[in-house]
Amino acid sequence: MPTPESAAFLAKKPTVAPTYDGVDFEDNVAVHNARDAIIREQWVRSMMARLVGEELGKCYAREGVNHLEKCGVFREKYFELLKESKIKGYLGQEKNRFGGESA
Amino acid sequence: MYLTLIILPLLGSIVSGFFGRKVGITGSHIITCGSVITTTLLAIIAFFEVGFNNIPVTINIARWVDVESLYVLWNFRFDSLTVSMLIPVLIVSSLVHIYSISYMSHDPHNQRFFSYLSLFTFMMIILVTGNNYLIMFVGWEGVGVCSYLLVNFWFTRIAANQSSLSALLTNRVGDCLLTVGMFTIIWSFGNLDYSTVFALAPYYNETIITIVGICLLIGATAKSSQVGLHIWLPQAMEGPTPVSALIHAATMVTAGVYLLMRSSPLIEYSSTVLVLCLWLGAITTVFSSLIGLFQQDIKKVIAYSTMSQLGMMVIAIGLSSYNLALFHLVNHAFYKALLFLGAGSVIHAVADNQDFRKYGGLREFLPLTYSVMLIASLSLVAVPFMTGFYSKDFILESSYGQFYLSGTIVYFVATIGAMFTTLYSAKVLYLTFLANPNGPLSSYKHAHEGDIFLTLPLIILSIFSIFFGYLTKDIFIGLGTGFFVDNSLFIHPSHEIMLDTEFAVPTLFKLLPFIFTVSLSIISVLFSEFLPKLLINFKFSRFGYNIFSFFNQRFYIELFYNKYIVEGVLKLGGQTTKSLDKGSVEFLGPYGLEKGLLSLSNSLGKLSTGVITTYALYVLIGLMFYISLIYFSYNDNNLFILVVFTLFALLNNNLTSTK
Repeated sequence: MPTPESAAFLAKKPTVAPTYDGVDFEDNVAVHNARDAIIREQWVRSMMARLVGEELGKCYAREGVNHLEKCGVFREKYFELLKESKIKGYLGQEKNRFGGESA
Repeated sequence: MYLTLIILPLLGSIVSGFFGRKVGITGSHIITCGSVITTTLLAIIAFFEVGFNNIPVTINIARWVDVESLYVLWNFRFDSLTVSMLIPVLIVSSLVHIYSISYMSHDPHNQRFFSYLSLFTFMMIILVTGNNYLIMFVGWEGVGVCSYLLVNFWFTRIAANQSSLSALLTNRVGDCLLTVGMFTIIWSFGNLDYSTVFALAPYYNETIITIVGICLLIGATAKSSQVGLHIWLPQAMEGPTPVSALIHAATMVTAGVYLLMRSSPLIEYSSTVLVLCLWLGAITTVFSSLIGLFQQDIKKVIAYSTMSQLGMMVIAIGLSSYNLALFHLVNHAFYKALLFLGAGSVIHAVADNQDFRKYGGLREFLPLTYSVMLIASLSLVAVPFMTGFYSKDFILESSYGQFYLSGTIVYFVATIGAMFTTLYSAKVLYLTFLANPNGPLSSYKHAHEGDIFLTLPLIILSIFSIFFGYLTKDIFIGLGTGFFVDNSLFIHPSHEIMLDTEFAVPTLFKLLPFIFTVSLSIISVLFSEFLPKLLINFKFSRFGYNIFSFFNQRFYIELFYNKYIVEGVLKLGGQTTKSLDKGSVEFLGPYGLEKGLLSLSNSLGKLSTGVITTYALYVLIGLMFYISLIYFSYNDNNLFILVVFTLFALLNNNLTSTK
């Protein structure tokens, strides 16, 4: 399995930024790539929240009463990720931007 | 082993339910009893392995809900709380299975009955072993459905239909709030897994914890028959007596208490929920024992007694003494199942009569039943060194040992509840076994003890009712016990009252419940034996009659519900059906569509007038429409107005010429 540092992993690493900043909306390919990147980023955050939640659960089960002390890293990370764990899609962001530009 | 433990009762249920004709009655008995007894033995092994060695076991079976970051698995966890719950559930279930072989021997639907019993056992195992709120909810609903099926087992009886529906509908109120609680957990914690939720609870907003806790408490109120949503439990006594013993005494009704115990790491952080538990339990205890004292149906008295003891458990939860609540739950399961099975033995002996005013003198005919019911009653009223004493008495002391105003008041309220418990226990024993025979001769002619299947469970349960508390008190509530080290029950250090209860409560308050128990037992028997006229005269006085009616009619709560709530809800339902389901929805849906299409086709049919000039007009209109179609794309409103105006003028002209 490729590690995050391996060439195989880096080759698959997305090159498009997950934002509409600097995207020309007349260029369909660029818009499509930006959409892909935005959705991918949202899913990555969602899955990270899930993985950290699972690790937090395992830590709680393992540490028992000491979980307050021992699982702090996971807990803080989970709280942070929980805020943006929902997949919001790209349409809202795109429409706001379209509206902003046309106005 | 753990998977076998879960699945065996389900297999027994499937075989007995779907292949009942193939396996026959005896085959069904052997298969269901065999599978449940095997499960019980495995649960006892699990108790030793998981509980004493502190090795929780988790089993992941499959993925269920996989939506964004919400990930719910079919996973099961065996920790000290689970295995402690499995002990009463499975031991009582096995004994009830055995008991039912004889009790239901004359019933033509044995296979169905045993299938339901085993299915219930399976659902209860799912409830206590589930490792997240959703799996627990599957078991929660499953036991509700099985309760409905079993109460309604004799489905040709209208009373059974009504009771089972009442049980199901009352539980829906609690389930609704429980679901709201689960949605709140998903919304705030992003997960339903116990471990994740409990790991986050100490750091979460207390208001959210309180909202979740209150929702869980209302769910528990319905399931564990606390005041407000309690009306279903006494009504559920319409079912066969083994069902009452298994579901409505020992196991299902404790599901609400289990939910609160399981959620201890959550509700410990909301003092509001704990105080609510404390008061709800106290009111339930005294309320139900008072009603129980004025009932005349032996099973209903025991049902109210169950409510009263469930109230005690909820008090223990309100005191944050979850281990104590669990201990009382286990102890109560044994002696209450024994009371019910004993009552079943009496009912079986006296031609299915449940009114104990028509009993009396049965001690000579049913010596074993008398002995076991005496043992169960002594355990229930917390006579020292019986099983019930070690938990019930400790709950009363603990409420004083909290040294808060609420705790102290609850101590006195619960002690009064315990006094009534003593009184109705003495009443049941006295009127059934010791008083002069009051029933018809035919009842006594065939009165006899049951066969081995009826008596063996009674003997085993009576042994548990005497010794279980003494043997296991240090495991559950001993100072420094390591049984709950796996964090299945969490008591906040500032809520710990074990030491205060043990060493700081004045001796008088420790002894007060016992003094009341003994003195009231003696007084009640003396009054009944030597001064019965005093009681009878009081009952026939105006005041006595009113008092008796008020309590006999259960504080008129059912009347209030029926008059002000059920009636309103039914009217609302009727109006909704009339104006929505059968009204607007129907009008906009199938009925309206049918009528609309018919009307449209009639209108279209009328266009065919047979007059050539009219047809020429249609052709002209069509032609003009097609010609103007091109111009519509220019979005010129003036042209559209011109076309409409021309059409109108033409039609007007046509109509004028026809006249």
